[in-house]
Amino acid sequence: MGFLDVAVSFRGITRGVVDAPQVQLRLSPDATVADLLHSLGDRYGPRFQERVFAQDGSLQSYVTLVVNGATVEGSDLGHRLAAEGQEQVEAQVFIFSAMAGG
Amino acid sequence: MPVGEDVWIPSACSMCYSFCAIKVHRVDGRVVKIEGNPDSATGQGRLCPRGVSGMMLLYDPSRINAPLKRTNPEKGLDTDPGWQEISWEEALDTVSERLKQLRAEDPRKLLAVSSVSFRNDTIFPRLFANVFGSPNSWNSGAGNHCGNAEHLFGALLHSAWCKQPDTDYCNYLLNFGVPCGFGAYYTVPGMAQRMADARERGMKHVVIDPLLSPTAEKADEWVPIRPGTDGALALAMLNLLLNELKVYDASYLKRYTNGPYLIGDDGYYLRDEETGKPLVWDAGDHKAKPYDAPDSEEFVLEGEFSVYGYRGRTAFSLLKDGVKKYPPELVSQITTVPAATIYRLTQEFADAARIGSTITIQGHELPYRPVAVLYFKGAQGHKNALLNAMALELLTEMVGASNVPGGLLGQNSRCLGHPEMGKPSWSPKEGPDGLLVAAGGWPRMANVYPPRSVTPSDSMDLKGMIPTASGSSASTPLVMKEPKRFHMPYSIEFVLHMGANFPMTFGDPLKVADAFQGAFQVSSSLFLDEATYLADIVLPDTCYLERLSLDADWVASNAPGGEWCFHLRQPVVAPGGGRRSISEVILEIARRTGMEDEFYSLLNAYLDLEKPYALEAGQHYTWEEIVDRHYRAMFGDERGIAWFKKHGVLKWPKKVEEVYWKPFIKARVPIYFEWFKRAGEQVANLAQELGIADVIDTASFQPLPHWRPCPSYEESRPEYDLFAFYYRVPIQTFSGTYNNPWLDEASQIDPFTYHISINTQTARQKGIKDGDWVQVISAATGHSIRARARLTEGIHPEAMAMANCGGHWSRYLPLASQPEKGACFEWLVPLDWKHVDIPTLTQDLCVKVKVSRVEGP
Ligand code: SF4
Repeated sequence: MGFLDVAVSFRGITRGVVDAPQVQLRLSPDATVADLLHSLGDRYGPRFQERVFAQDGSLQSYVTLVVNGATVEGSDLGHRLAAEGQEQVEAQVFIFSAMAGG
Repeated sequence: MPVGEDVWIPSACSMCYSFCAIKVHRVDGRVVKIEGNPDSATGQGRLCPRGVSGMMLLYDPSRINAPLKRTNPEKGLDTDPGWQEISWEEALDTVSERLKQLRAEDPRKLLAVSSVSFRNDTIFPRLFANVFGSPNSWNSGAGNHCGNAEHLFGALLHSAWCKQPDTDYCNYLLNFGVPCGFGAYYTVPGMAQRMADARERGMKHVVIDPLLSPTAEKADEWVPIRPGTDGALALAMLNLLLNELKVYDASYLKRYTNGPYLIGDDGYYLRDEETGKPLVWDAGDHKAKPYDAPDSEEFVLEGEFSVYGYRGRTAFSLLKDGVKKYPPELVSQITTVPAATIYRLTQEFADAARIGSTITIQGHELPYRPVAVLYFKGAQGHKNALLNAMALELLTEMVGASNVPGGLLGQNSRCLGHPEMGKPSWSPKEGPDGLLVAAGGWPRMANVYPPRSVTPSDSMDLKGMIPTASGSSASTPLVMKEPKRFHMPYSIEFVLHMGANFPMTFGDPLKVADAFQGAFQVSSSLFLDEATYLADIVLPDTCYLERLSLDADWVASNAPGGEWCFHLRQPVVAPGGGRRSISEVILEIARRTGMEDEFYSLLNAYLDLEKPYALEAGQHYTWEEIVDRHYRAMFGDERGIAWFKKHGVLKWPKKVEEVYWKPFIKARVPIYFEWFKRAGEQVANLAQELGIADVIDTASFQPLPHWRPCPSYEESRPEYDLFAFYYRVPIQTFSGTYNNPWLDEASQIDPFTYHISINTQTARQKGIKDGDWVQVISAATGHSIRARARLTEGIHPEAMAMANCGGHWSRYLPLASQPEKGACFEWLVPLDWKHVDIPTLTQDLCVKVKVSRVEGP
């Protein structure tokens, strides 16, 4: 049973809710997007959790996660971070500020 | 200058946010004419007067041609900044150095200010603020411009930013004051043709509006209404539909709404103990089941039941009972619309809805509901914005006319992509409690469902605290003025401003200026308008005929039916003077501040740029390369900007399941807004905790609509006897076009652009004759404005009205700032919390005024 090393970078206003622009996590090889975000939530506390998750626990639509260069669909929390046998993953977390209006 | 050149170049207009396709005639290097591009499905070859006049913007001698810095340290709305020309190098150095310092201190101190009028280009500064690390960006339109509550319900009920009637099949359009197809609103010339075709086909158009507007005068019927009472009228119509006529689409309400969900006496859903899902009552089994129980077909829409020992009434029953409070006779007193008219309109609406009928389109048998209810700023720009809009929306929902043939269509709720590439693509989906989650532009903006958490806001717009707020926020200047009171650990110190003349769009200009005065402001602007009076540095921007845009379409520019159509906005001439496009300037600033790689990664995420189109760290991309990648990522390698430059438009037919998507998507919409109630309680608790409960009025967070009058209805001084409101005219866009000589000429001919409209009888009682100068004093601000009176029978006798945002005062706008060029409505509008609808952060535009004759300007 190996590990999956995940290099997470925070972009834009996400940096306002974490304490460093980058963090290295070690997760299980079959970790999902949900596992990654919950692990970050544990690390950064309610402020991160409230920004990233809606009240019902789903991912906020203005949060975007890019894993190895590909955008993960917001609803796809069960998406596996790595392919079978892959040991390292790069992820970027974006929180977009509200940009709507007249 | 190339001699002998004579070419037509395809591009896209940006004189407003309709983004019509244009063809620009260039002869010997100069633009000589702009026409609509007939190849485009969006505008169908039509242009409005503003679109035709774009070349006068391009060649306006008042345009700015060089970067400027202020020499007068004193700032004020009528204090000349003492502009001094500087080089681009000095301007960019100053800006970049200050930004670097600010980012190191606290990036949240940056605010990006923009406007919807040049939407696609203003996204770029806002993205810059985002990558900079600031949650603060503000479209300054909550006053005059933004649909706020309308957009909220657009997301919740239609998965769209805005709505249009289905002009192909609609037979009865009840229009609460929207200039749809008549000069403003979305997709203007395209909808003008579609509305004209619908009228010729026989669609009846009833306009409810205090003013006999250009829209109302071409309708079948104009129903004058007292300003701000549209929501009350909708409540009376709901009452008649549900309780007297008993006309509603029961099968739609059961299947596609939360109408059958059981609501406990506490106002919340009764939920299944095991799954937590809202319960409905199954008439076959005589028991409560989760709304999505597979073995249940017979949900009860009405009634009261006992579940787990609790009383549960269906959401629909609560609505039906709730609107009984609004009999037409009572509502007639609120609205001044005769009760008989309310009965007749409701009956016509009910008859026209043809509940139960179907139509077959492209082999799909679909519900046919040829009625629609439309509203926008006028009906909802009030203290009661949320509940007014809710009542109006529910009319369409009750008859099942939402996103089906003939009804009200979300403007591009669903796109299944180009036939070859499958992009762009978005689709509404089912979310928590079986309710609709909006797609399209919503996810990257401020999506409202599933509900956001209620937290102390870290942004001036308070959107972190108010989960129902979706549009432009009325709170920004109010919180900017007193950040500590709202527990903001920082204040705004740098304003990056582009394309928004915010002192003329957002309520009391003096108070707006006061909120902005302390910040270092960099404005990228076409003109030295009123907003630049507050700037420290002004950068000369390119106009739409001189620049390449990120794209030239958005969800609300494509027509609701017919064909998808995508365009390119390309420079038709090289930028004049020393002008530079704000997007290129932002890229340069990102470079100088060491943010380039971060900016690229944010752009990749925002624009869905994946390999091989993704922007790579360590590279330098030109603006043209970025735009090209965006187009190629969507439409394939062969359709980059070179293809669009040549062909102008890319179009393909819309599918039935895109336009009339409702029967194809398994998601319900709320007719009972249960989570608003919860949000209200959470907001109230938080406001209490933060010590701001005195300004955060949570009374409107209600699950069902009801009528609350605006504060102006409390005005008791008899001399303040008229309601003032503003309207949009087809000849001007907000405050941005008043210096255009062609539009000025047209505005002089038009009786309602530069004048103040007053009812003839009312004016006579005040001794005012047509053409007299009048002074209008606001009961709320104490400020006054002056303009000539235009007497007309076509306005409610208790109201006076005026157009858009005239009455400029910048001495650098030599045409717009002359006397007799209209007046600025904002002087009448108070900027305070009492006049904000908290759930939607909408600014209340309902003002009582005193009008009297004066001798001159
Ligand atoms: S409606 Fe707007 S985009 Fe279209 S021509 Fe007029 S100003 Fe231009």
